[in-house]
This record gives sequence, structure tokens and C-alpha cells, in this order.
Amino acid sequence: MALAFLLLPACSKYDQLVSDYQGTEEAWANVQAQLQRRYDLIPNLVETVKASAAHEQQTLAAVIEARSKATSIQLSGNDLSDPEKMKQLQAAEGQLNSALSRLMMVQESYPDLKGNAAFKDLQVQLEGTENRILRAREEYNAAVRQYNTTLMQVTGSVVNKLTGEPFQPRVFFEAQTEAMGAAPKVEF
Amino acid sequence: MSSLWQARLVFGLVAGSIWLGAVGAAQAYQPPPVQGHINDAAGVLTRAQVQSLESELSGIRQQHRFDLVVLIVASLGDEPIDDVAYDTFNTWGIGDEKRDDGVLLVLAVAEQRVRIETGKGVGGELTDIESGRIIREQIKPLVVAGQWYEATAVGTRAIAEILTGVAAPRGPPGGSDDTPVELTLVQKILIGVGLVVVLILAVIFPGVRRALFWILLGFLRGRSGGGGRSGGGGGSGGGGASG
Repeated sequence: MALAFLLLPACSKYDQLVSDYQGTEEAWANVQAQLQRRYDLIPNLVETVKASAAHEQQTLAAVIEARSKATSIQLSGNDLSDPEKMKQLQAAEGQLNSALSRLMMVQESYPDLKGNAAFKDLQVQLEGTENRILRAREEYNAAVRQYNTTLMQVTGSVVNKLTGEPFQPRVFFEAQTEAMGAAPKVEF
Repeated sequence: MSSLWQARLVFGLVAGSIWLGAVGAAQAYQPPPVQGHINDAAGVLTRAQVQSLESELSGIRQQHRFDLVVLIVASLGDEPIDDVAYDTFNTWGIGDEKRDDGVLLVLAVAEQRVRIETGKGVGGELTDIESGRIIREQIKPLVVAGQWYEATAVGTRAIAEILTGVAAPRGPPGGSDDTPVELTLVQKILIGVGLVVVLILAVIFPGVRRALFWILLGFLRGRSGGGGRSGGGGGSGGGGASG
């Protein structure tokens, strides 16, 4: 009986850890989906810019390179508890952000491109995707905050230790300050 | 053991400082209390205009079930319109919780900015591209001209057209064309008899009483125009477009 009294709260704490963990997994899947959405958008964007602004080889190449670098980093499971891996992804995404914002600035010197309806649509899509990435990141960070809090509270850490430490704290997915400032702003 | 706790303490401090930083950076915009489908915090619409738009939107809501809400603010302050729209959408919980089919149209008077924020459930039908086109081609010219009623009416109709696949009913500007339904004498008597029967049943059977209570409650919520939006509701994943 006494054992049951001790075990019940422990079980519910374990359940809470599991559900918070699932929350971070779900939020991370959303982040990845939105990042992927942006990767998928880039080839089209590059083609459209290339058609009107062939001289911008360097800018275009930088975007393509940053994209392939970013796509090569896929984090899942325990990677989310590894600050080093997260830092790599953040750096790659930051680089992609600034390469993209340089690409979007190219339009100022090409009236052709700026007036192109397909380019305008791509611009809207890119902007929308970037906004979605931002929101997905906020939601992921909120989920991680909750999970880490549960895990680091006294009962959480005791339960974690008693069950052989299946839970590791996870790291936040932060925006690079440079990337934040350089996010393409679209004016109509 | 002690090193483990030290590591944990350091981690906690670091996490805490990041958390504080995040809170400071992302302070949510506080929208005004929701008043219906048309929320004119800037006061650029007349009462008749608000009523006309309101009846149009609640008609769409009753027919097609999705929730289309408008917020007009006098000024954004220093907030990006994306944040204002996102925070308002999620604070008001626009749309049904399961279908997440809300759409929010934000107009900022001083900045002449427009944003369409979509719930996750409508991102497929009302894509960012379409939102962008509606803003660029239909709303923005009217906003620049300072025609706020026209901008709101044209914008909501264009959004409704895409979401429902049919052209929205166009009420005459400045007034609603709702005519009260005329009842014949026989119909009135039948309704009266029906009400008496229901009342008698309600007095006799507690089950009927309870059912009646919920039906009435649902009816009142449905009529208030704010139903479904109170508490919970849909959330936005940041979909939409601005201009």
C-alpha cells in the first residue's frame, strides 16, 4: 500500500515526461517540415532569378551552396539534446538566410525581375515560409522549455534517474541574430 | 554526484537566461477584446458599414462554417504586422479547434499595411500566393486610397470566394438586406402548440429539460456571432501573406 503511494506520483511524472517529450518531437517535426518547404522553394526561385538576372552568378551559387549545406544536416532523436549539432544547423540556416536575403535584394537592379508575376508569387511564398519557420521555431522552443522544466524539477529528475535516465534535456533552436536582421522584407 | 548537480545547475542557469531572453524578445501583442467578425479598433468604419459587413460574414460562417474575422488597428506601433496578426489570431482562437479553418484579415491604418493570416486548416485552399495576390491586386490599392470600408469588403469577399468556391453575396453598401420572415396564422398556431407540447414534456421528463437547455445554449451561442471563438479555438502556424 505504502509502495503504491510512492509509485503512483512517480508513474504520473514519468507519463508527463513522455508526453512533454512527444510534444518536442511533434514541434520539431513541424520545424523540419517548414525548413523543407523552404528548401523546396529555392530551386524555382533560383531559376526565376537566373532568367532575368544571369549576371548574378555569385549570388545564385551562394544560395545553392547554402541550401545543399543546410539540407545535409538532419537532426532527430538524440541530436536534439546535442548543442553542437544544433549549433551546426543554426549556422547553416543562418547562412542560407543571408544568402537568400542577398538574392532577394538583387531585384532592385532588375526591373524585369521585379515586375515578374511569377517572381512576386515566389517572393510571397518565401516570405510566408519564413514566417512559418519562425512560428514553428517558437513553438518548438516553448515545447522544449516545458520538457526541460519537467525534467529538471526534483521529481522529474528523480524519476528520470530511477528509470535509467531515458530522458535528456533538449536544446533550443535559436535564430542567428544576423539571420534575424537579414530576413527578406518584401514591400509591394 | 556533485559534478552532475553542478552541471545541472549550470545548464539550468543557461536555460533560464535563454528563456528570459526569449520572453523579452517575443513579447506577445495584446489584441483588443474580440467583438464579432468586424473589429474596428481604428474607428474608420461607420456603424452601418460594420453591421453590413458583420451580417455578410456571419452569413458566410453559417453557410460554410469557416470563420473569417477582420481587425482594423489605427497603428501597429513598433510591432511587425506579422506578429500582430499571429498573436491576435491565436489569442482570439479564430476558427474551429479541430478544422483550424480561421482566417484573419488585419488592416493597419497609419502604416497602410495589410496581412491575411490563415489557420493551418485553410493553408491548402487559401495559399500564401493567393493571399498575396488578393492583397496586391485588390486590397492594397484601396488601402492606399484610404477607402477602408471598400478594402475590407473587397478583401473579405475575395477570401470567401476562394474558400467557398462561390461568389459571396453582395449586400448593398451601408445596410443589410435581411427581411424578417412573415408567418401565416396557421403557422403561428402550429408553433404555439409545438411550444406548449415541448413545455409540458419538459415539465414531465428531466431528460427533455436537459436536452432543451443544451439546444437553447447552442442556439444562443450560434446567434451571438462570437461562438466557437471563445476559448480554445484554432491556431495559426504563421500561414498567410502581408503587403
